[in-house]
Amino acid sequence: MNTSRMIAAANPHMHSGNSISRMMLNLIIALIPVSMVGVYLYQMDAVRLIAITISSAVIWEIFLQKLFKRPVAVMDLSAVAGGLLLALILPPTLPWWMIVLATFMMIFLGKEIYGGLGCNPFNGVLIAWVALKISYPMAMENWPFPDRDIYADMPPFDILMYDGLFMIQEFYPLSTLFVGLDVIGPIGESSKMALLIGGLWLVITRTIFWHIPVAMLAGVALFSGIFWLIDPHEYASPMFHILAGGTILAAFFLATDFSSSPITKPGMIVFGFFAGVLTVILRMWSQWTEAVYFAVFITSMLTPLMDKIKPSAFGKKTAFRIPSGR
Amino acid sequence: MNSVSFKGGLKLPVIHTGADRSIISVPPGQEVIVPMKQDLGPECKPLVKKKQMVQAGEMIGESPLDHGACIHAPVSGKVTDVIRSFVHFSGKRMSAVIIAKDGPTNKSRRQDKDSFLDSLLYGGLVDYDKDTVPLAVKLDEAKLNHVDSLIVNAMDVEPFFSSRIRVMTEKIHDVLAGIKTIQEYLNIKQVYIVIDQQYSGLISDHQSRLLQDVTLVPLKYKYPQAIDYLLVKAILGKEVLCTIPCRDIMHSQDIDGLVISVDTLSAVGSKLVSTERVITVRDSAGKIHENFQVEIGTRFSEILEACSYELDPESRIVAGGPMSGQILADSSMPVTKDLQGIFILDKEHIVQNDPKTCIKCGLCVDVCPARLIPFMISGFVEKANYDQAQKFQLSSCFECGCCSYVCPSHIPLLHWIQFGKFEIFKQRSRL
Repeated sequence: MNTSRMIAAANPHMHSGNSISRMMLNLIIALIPVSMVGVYLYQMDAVRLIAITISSAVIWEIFLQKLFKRPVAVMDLSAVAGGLLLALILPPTLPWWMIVLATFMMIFLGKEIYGGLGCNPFNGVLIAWVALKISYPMAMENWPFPDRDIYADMPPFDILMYDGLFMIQEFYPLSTLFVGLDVIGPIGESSKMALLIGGLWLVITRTIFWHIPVAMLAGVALFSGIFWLIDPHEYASPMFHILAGGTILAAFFLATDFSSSPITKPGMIVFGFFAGVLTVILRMWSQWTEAVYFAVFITSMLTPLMDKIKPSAFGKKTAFRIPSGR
Repeated sequence: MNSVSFKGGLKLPVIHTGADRSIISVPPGQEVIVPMKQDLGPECKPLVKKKQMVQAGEMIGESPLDHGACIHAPVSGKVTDVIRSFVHFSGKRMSAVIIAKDGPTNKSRRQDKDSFLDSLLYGGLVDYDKDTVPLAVKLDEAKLNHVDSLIVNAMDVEPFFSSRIRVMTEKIHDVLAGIKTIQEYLNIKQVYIVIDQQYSGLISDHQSRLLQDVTLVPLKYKYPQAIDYLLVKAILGKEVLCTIPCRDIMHSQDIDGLVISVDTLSAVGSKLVSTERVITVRDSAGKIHENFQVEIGTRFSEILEACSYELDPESRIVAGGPMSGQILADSSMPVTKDLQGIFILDKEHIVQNDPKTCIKCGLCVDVCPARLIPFMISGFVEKANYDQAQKFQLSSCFECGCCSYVCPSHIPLLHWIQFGKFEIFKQRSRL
């Protein structure tokens, strides 16, 4: 009966079994429906894009972690999930070297330079996207056409910017946007239905909290709704703002990136709402048409500030702790 | 009455808890070890010498201060040794009395002292809770605070344990007598008994007729619901600031309502000296789930033998529950008053702590019932920045362990928080 072993262990002695790789696997599972829609629409182009992003992201991660003398943590699947997510917001026919450059940006600037997963102040996927968008704007707007009868020749927000609101109603009614098979743009902006299924999976499995997506969609709807109520012939409807472009993709998959989003519930709601409002502002008054990615990217800079909004501890009198100057 | 009283917490999988298993009495073995410090009070001084004969119920340890609970011999017999360096499962070194059993273990009644609190102290009564303080200290504080409501806790703090609901159903007369005693002493107006919602069927009609004067509150089971603070919040609607300076150190609790567990009350009501304990024994696989009434000083191995449980050498024994217990090296540890139960971790359920970096997923913030930000606190403690950790209200932590349970990076958050509390306590006591 006497067995002397070194068995010191901190309590609790039970664990939920949750792990980083399981959360990342949930993210990958959530992205599968929309990836399948992408493969259906763009056939080999989509397969090529996804294959290059995932494989190069994994290779870059191994290379950089070896270079920085860190334990190689490819098995936590974060590179795979990031690569898949990046594939959803790039044009399917992008040249291969741009894709490899993008995954390098994603792993190096978005993760490893800050000390690995969890230390990054920005979403690596968005860093890669922003870098490519600024460096190669023409290539990033070169959209292929799916092999279907599509009247439109541009993504919804380009039509809104160049052709006006009337053409939107012709080319992109809300049902088309929701089903997403006849929408021009990256894979992640195609089927909103598939994205919502994936988002629901993330919320059910508690990989993300519902606060950020719901607050972001509410921010988009409220802010665009104000202008739509003022003049429905001049401004697009809130439903269009939610269903068109990458709003749902950004709300469920990009804004909820763990380390670049706040950790408290009030902070999450402020974060999501701000990102939503900023999305509409940039869509209306900036030259960018894919404003939602910029909006999330800019809002993640404010995350440290929003982390200061925290509920007071159990038994403290005030409901919220007001962030002080120090 | 709202059944969910706090945000956060854990909905643990429902496993057979043995709540329908009646309490089995286990006779002590040939030799019992009685440690001299079984609560958070001061260590008792052994009153007996080697080769002395003791009677069951005889006082063998007296507290050096006037607010410590005394310790009594659980069996009649001969003192074979008084050792100085016994290591208790909490890691503390203390003296202990070893008694070889000789003759029957008849119970002896508590002596009536001139004050009620003294008779509790000399009867060796402690609050059988996560923080085991002498019951007299707790009642004294309650008297000073003019507490007018008593909350009887029939829910086990630890998940998968069921000793309290068994005490509630089997010793209801003792419990009611205990409630009455304390009610008279403190002028309590309202008595609530909280039980787990899933066990509310175990209270029979006859028993519920006995409980007419008290309010029976079924609460939904969520892991740290049975912590005193959360019970006060659930029943009285008040939030009391938690200020546990450090685990294993006696502290005052400024709780408006008095929370006492049923096993304490049944010990008060039985009018016997405190030498026995009702504990749950179960393992992580669910092969064994029993409730035992054991004498203080019985070794764990004897209890396991009594229920003919084969201990796998690869599995580990946890003194206390799965959430706040201590892993032991072997099964020779004796039962003490601060033991809630014995949990056996099977090989496949042993948590492999391989901490990775925090990914700031926010799960620990989500489950924290005290509304803290555990990963920030643990991060600051890890970097020995205790001032910042205190700004994040380190001392308000209930030490329930929900954060460590959910952490996907397997960071021992609770360990860091307890370590930080201890370091801050050390710094303060040095000043």
